[in-house]
This record gives sequence, structure tokens and C-alpha cells, in this order.
Amino acid sequence: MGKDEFKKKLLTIIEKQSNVVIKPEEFTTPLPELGIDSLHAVMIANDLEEIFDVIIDDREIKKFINVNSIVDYFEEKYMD
Amino acid sequence: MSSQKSFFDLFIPQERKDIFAPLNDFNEYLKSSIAAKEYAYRRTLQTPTSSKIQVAEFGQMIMMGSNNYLDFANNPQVVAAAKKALEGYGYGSGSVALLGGTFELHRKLETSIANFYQREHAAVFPTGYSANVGTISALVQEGDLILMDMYAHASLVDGATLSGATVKFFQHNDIKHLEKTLTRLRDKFGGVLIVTDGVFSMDGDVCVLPDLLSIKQKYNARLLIDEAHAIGIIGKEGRGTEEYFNRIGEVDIITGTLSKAPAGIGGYVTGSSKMVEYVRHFASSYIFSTSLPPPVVGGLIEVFHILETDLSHKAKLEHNIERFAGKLRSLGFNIGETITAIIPIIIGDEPRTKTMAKEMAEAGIFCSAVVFPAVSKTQSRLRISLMSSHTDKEIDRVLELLEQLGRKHGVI
Repeated sequence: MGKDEFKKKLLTIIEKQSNVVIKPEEFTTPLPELGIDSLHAVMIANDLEEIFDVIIDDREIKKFINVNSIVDYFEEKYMD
Repeated sequence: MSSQKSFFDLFIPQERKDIFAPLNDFNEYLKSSIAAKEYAYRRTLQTPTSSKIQVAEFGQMIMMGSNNYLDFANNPQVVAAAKKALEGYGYGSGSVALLGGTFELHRKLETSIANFYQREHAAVFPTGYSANVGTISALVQEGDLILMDMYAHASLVDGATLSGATVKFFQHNDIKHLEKTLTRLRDKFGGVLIVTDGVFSMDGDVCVLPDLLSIKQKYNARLLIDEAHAIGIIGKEGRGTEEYFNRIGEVDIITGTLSKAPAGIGGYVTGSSKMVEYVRHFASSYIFSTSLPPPVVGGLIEVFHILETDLSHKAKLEHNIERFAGKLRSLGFNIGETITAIIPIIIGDEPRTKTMAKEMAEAGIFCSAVVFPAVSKTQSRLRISLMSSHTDKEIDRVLELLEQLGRKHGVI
């Protein structure tokens, strides 16, 4: 899966877990400023684990600062 | 220098070539917060901590922000016992507990704690924080899985980090979420430890112990509960979460602090002799810390004597909880699911919470504003802690002010 496809999937998961729709100009905005808190982040991580069959240590969630940082994290750890 | 950053910005790691790089930004934040009179940390007490205190720059205040729930910090019996230990054993312990720092007093305190929880054995740490960090990091290793309630105390999270195990959080008191994670991940790991507070420090509610016990059996896991805010407070005789649910003896590992209701300093782990002795010899925070000073240990032994023999303090606290929480609920405040001395008054947004805390302080009420990142952005709150020694008059004064401020700021 490429970066763009992953980002699209990620935005769907974020919307499902937090009811927040993130626009492209908000991809670098800190998630809490968009109304996404640590509770949402845990659930987002769970969905990512299930979909991509990986295990994310929840202490890594602190690296999920904004949409782009989640994409970068996944790219670095799990994408070819 | 960049424009002033918010408190949240300061938590985001930045690229730098000097570890001192964030210091200027933080100091700017600190100065502006103090100038705006929003900085409410490190107020200076000038009298013993109790329900009424003298505070520098504020004068006399009603203390609604202390964990000294049963007012043992300045209890005459406890102070007398501490003085006696001071005179008999001196001011310091001189060594770590495994070498020259175990006095007969420390052994007596450990026996008192074990007896209180009806366990074989207990080990006393220098703080509650170090008890949690040490216990988890001693027992759990890489390849194991820690499942932790999202609202668990930071010391439990730090212990999990130090252990090297994989950590997964489950939604607060959400057994379905916990079980779903276990179903998905149990087979991928060796040992599993489920971790929770007994009473949660920011919300005053209680963990779902019977469900946790069933789950830990079903999935061959161990259960640790931190009784920091439960000891002396819940259960018929104040023995905490197990007694509250009538499940004494079923939790694998009980930890706690001696600094809240017991009103001293120190932490403990209690359980089987085998488990406690293992932790004692493998927990770095125990091995490498000097043991508690004798006067504190003497005071704590007396605290456990009072906890075992005199329930009047607990009864008075329960009266105060009922009076205070009952009225707040009838006024329409959101105080969550609390059943304990911790009363979260959930305001929602940060500005109103900080304003209300400031106005409370100006009116002589000492309480804490808890905001992001300690709680989520929509859950900003005033955190009130009740004590057994609050009088009806003091409680009514605080209620009257809260009603007035709640209406003024559109909270109720």
C-alpha cells in the first residue's frame, strides 16, 4: 500500500473513531486541536492494527502528532 | 525567538542540537502564566495541612485540594507516634533497605500493611510512584504484554515503559475493549499483566474488579491494582477495592501509596510472600533507594492502627461526600461517576475552568484546575478532594460559591 492510499484509509478510520473530518490543509495541525484526544488515538491505533495486521505499542501514540506524522510513522515502520 | 508557544506545543518533540533548546520557550510560557495569575502550582502553605490552612499571599483558605482525606497528616496520635520514633530511632535510615536501612519499624509497618490487606507479605518503597515503577518493571519483561486502563496513573505507565513489554491501553473501565484486545493479541505474547487503578485519581470512580478478575482467569493473565486513592476510603472497613466488591484475596498484586489517606510518604506492594520477595530483590527503585525515615514509619504504623480500630474518620468523610456530591448533583453539575472523596467538577473548556479556579482561590477556597494534557480538552475540571475534618459549614460555604460561579459561567 502506498502513502496516499494509506492516508485515505487513515482519514476514514479517524472519522469513524472521532467523527472528525480532516481537510488537507489540516494535515499538519496537532490532533488535539482538531478535537482528537488520546482516547480516540488509542482506538485509531487499534483499527490500524486490525487492518494492517501489525502491533502498535500504545506508548508510540505520542508520535501521532498530526495526520502526516502518523503516515510517516507507518511508512518508516511498515511500508516497503 | 519564536512566537510564544502553548503548553501543548511544549510537549511536541522538536529537532535540536542542544537539550536546553526548549528552556526559553517554557520560561516564556511560565512567566506569562504567572503574570496572568493563571499559574496555580506550588502555593506555599504556612501551617500543617488540614481542612483549614494558611497560604502565603492568600491568607486563610479552606483546603479542598489535598489527598489527606482522613486528616491523618496532623492527627495528634500519628504525630505523637512519629515523635516517639524520631526520639527512638533518629531522623534518617542511613541506607537502602536491603543493606543497613531496615529497622524493626520497617518490618512492623510491612506486617501492618500485609495484615490490612489479608496478604502474606508486603514491601515498603520510598514513594507510591517508585512502588509502581519498581513492581511492574521487576515482574514484567520484553515479550510480555501489559494491558492498562487508559486512566491509570502515570507511575503505572512509567513502570510499563521501563519493563520493556508491549503496552496496550483499553478504554476506561471498558471490559469489552479489554477482552477484544486480549482475543486479538493474547497468543502473540508470553506473560500478560492487566493494570488498573482501584479508585481513579482524576474521576473518583472505581475499577470494574469482578469483570477484571473473570478476564484475568479466562486469559491466563495477572492483575495489578493500584490502591492509592482506595486505601482507607472504600470498602466496609476501608480496606479498598477488593473489600468494596467483597473479593478479598483475589487480586495478584496490590500496590499503593502511603501518602494519601495514610498521609505520610512511601509506597507498598503486597501479595504472596514469593511475589513480594521477588519484587524486593529485582525492583531497582527499591534496591537503590534509601529506606523511609523512622519518624515517617512510626507515624504510618499508628495510621494502620487507627485504620484497623477506628472507623469514625471514614464515617465522617462519607457524611461529607454524601452532603457535597449530593448537592452538586442536585444543582446540575457534572461530577461523573465518583463515589469517593475525589469530586471532579467537569466544566468542559479550559478558559472557564481556569477562571473558576482563580475565583475560588480569591474567595479563599484551595482547589485544583485540571486541564489538558492531564485530561482531554473537553474534560477540563475543578478537582475537589474532601476530607473527614471538613465541617458542614465549610462544605456549605464551598457549595454556595460553586453554585454562584457555576451560574455565572453557564456551567449549570
